[in-house]
Amino acid sequence: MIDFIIIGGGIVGASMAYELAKYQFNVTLLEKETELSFGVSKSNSGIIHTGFQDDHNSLKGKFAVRGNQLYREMSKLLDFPFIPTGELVVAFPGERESIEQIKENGERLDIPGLEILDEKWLDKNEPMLSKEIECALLGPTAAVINPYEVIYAMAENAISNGVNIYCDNEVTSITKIPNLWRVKTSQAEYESRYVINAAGLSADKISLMAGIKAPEIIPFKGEEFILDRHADRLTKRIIFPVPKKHTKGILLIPTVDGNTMIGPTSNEIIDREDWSTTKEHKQEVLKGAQKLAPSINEDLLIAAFAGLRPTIKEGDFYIKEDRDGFINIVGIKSPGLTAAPAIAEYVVNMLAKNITLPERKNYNPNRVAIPRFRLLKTKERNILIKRDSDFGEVVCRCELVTKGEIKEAIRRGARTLDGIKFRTRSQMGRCHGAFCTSKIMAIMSEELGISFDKITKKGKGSELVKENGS
Amino acid sequence: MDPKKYDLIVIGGGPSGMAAAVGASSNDVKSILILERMPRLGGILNQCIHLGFGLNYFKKEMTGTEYAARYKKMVYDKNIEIKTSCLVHKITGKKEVTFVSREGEFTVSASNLIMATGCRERTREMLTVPGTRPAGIFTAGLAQEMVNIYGVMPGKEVVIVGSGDIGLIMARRMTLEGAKVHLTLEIMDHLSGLIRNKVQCLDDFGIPLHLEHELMEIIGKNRVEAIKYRNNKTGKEKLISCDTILFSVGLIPEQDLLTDAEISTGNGIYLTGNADYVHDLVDSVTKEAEKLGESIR
Repeated sequence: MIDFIIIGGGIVGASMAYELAKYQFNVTLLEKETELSFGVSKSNSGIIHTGFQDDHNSLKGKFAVRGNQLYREMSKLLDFPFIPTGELVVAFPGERESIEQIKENGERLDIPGLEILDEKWLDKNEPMLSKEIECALLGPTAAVINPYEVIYAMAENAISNGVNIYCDNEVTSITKIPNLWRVKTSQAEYESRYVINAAGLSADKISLMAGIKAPEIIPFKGEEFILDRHADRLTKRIIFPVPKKHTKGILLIPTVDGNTMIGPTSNEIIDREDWSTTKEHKQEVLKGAQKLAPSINEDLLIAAFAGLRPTIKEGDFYIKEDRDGFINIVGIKSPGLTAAPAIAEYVVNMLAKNITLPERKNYNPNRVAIPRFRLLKTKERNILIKRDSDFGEVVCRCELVTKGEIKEAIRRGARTLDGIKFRTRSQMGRCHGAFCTSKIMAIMSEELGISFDKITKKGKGSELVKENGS
Repeated sequence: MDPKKYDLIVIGGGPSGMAAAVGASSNDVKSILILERMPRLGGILNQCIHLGFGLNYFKKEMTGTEYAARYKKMVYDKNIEIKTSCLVHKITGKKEVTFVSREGEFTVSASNLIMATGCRERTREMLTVPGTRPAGIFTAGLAQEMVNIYGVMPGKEVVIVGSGDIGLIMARRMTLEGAKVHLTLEIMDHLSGLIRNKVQCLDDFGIPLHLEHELMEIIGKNRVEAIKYRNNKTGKEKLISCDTILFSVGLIPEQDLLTDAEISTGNGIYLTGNADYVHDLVDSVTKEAEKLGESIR
C-alpha cells in the first residue's frame, strides 16, 4: 500500500517528495508530462526572494522567508548552484515612501540586512542602472537558482530514499474508498492513504476529481527574454521596480549561468497551455528593462520564453487538508519557488498533528550533481577523462558539454532533448543546438535503444524527426 | 613543462583549414598541426552532397564531399600533423591552444595561429520570432546534417524562412526526399543566396519565393502546426499549415575563441575562410586560405 501519492512533479511536488522521503513512508509521485519540471516550474524566473515583497501576515511572506533559509542548506546537501546575488528595489522620484514601507514589512518578517541606499552607493555598486533612480532598498538574502536543476536534485535524492516517480502518468480520476483514495491514471491504478495535490495549473481540476471545490486557477502568462552572455551580467543584483498590485513588475535578473534575463510580463490568459511569446510583450519588456538599465537594447536578446503562473483570486497560497487524507496545495505563484520547501515543511508539520512520522532508516541526505566539465580545472578534467573517455568528447561546443555528461543525464532519467538541456546546459548556448542536436539524438538513440523518430523535444507529439532512413 | 610548440597551428580542418595548412607546407613551414573537432577532415563539405563545388579551383564541377576528398589527399601528401576529434576551447594572446579529446585536455603552442573555424547559422532565437517553441524548427544546416549524414527526415510539410544558399539547397533536398516544400519567405526585396541556386532548387521544383514577406508567428504546441506570415508590401497576413520550418537567415563567422580571449588578429594570429567573412564559394575560400598559408614564415 502507498502512504502518499503526490500529484505533480514541479517544485512543490518535488519538495514534498524530498521532505516525505525523510520518513519511513511509501511515497509515489505522478507527473503527467514526460519529465519533471516541464509544467509551471521550468519557465520560472529562478529568483529566491527575500520575502519582503509579500505581506508579513501572509503565508506567502512567511514561507518565502523560511524557504530562502532552507534553500541555503539544501544547495549544499543536494549540490545545486545557489548564487546569493542579493536584490535591489529601486525607487524613482516620488517612490521613496514605497520602498520604506517594503522595508518596514521586511523587518516585521525578521529579514536581515535591509538597508536603503543612496545614489552615490548605486553609482559605485551598480553603475549600469538608470541615473534617474533616487535610492534603493537592498535585500542581501535574495538569490538565484535554476528551478529545474533543483527539482532534479530533489527528485534524485528522493529516489535514493525509496520514493517512486512516474512520468507520462496523467491522473484521470480520484475516488474515496474506505480509509483510502483510489487514483486512476493514464498508466495504472493506485491506492493511497494520502493524496497531495501539487498539480500547479491543473490543481483545481485535480481537486474537483476528488469532489472538492478548490479555488479556481487563473493562468497568468509571463514572457521573459535572455541577453547574450557577451553582454555580461548587467547588474550584480536582481533589480526590481516598486511592485504594482498584482505583479512585481519587469526585472533584471542575473542568472545562474551568467546571462541577464529581463521580464516578466503579467497577463491573464484563458488557455492553460499557451506558452507563446509576442512582439508587443517583447517591446513591453524591453521598455520596462530599459527604464532600469538604459543600455539594454534589442540586439542583445538571444532567447525568449513564456511561463504560466497558477494564480487564484484569493491572493494567498491555499494549503489545506480539505477532506480526510486529501491535501490541496493550490495557487502557488510567486513567491512559490522560494516558498516551496517551506510549504513542504508546513504540510509535514500539519501531518505530524495526526500521524506519527517514523524517521527513515539509512536516510541519505545527499545528492551529487552531474560533473560539469566546463567548470572544472584541467587536472580535474583529465582525472574524469581517464576514468571515462566520454568526458573527453565535447558534444555541445558553445557550453562545452561532453558525451559523458549527456550519458549521465540519461542515466538519471532524462528522456527528451529538453530534459537533457535542463540537466546539462547543452543546446542553451549561442548556436541554440544547431551543432549538437543531432549528436545528442545519436547518443539518446544509442543509450535508450530507440530510433531517431521516437526522440522528442519535450514528450509525445514533439518528435523531432518524421521518418527514419533505412 | 612548456607546451609542445609548432611553427603553425590551424584550428579547424574544413576547406579553409586544410588549404591554409597546405599553403604553409608548400612554403616550407616545418611543423604544422591541424586541430579538427569532428572525427574527420572536411568540415561542412562532408554534408554537402550536392553539385556546385570545384569549378574554379579544380576546373571540374563536383559535390562537396568529392571536393573534400580531393583536397584531403593534398593534405595527406604533405607533412602535416592532423588531430581529429579534438575540440579547441581556448586560445591565448601567446598563441597557446587548449583542446579536449578522448585522451585528455592538452595545451600546445605555435609561432603562428590560423583560425579556420568557419561560421555558424543564425537561429530563430536570434530573431526572437513570436509564437511558441515546439519541435520542428531547424536551421537549414542542421536539417542538412540530419538528412545527409544521419539519413532521417526532419519533416514533411516544410516552409523555408530566409533565402540563404543552404535554405535553397535544402528546399530541393527535402523535395527530393519526398517532403512538400510550400514556400520560401524572404524579408528583403532581393534573393540572399546565389541566383543559380534559386533557379536549380526553387524554380525547377515549382517552389515559390516570396520577397518582402516576413514570418510573424510560429504556431503549434508540441510540433509546428502552422505559421503566420505577412506580405510587407500589402500588409496582408496569411496562415499556412506546415510541420517544419527551416531557417536560412544568415551566417555568422565563428570568432568566439578570439572574443573570449579578448584578443584580435595580428602578431601571428590570422582568420581565414568563413571565420574571416562569409564566402559564396568554397573555391575562393581555398584560394584565399592557401595564399595566407604561403605567406607564413
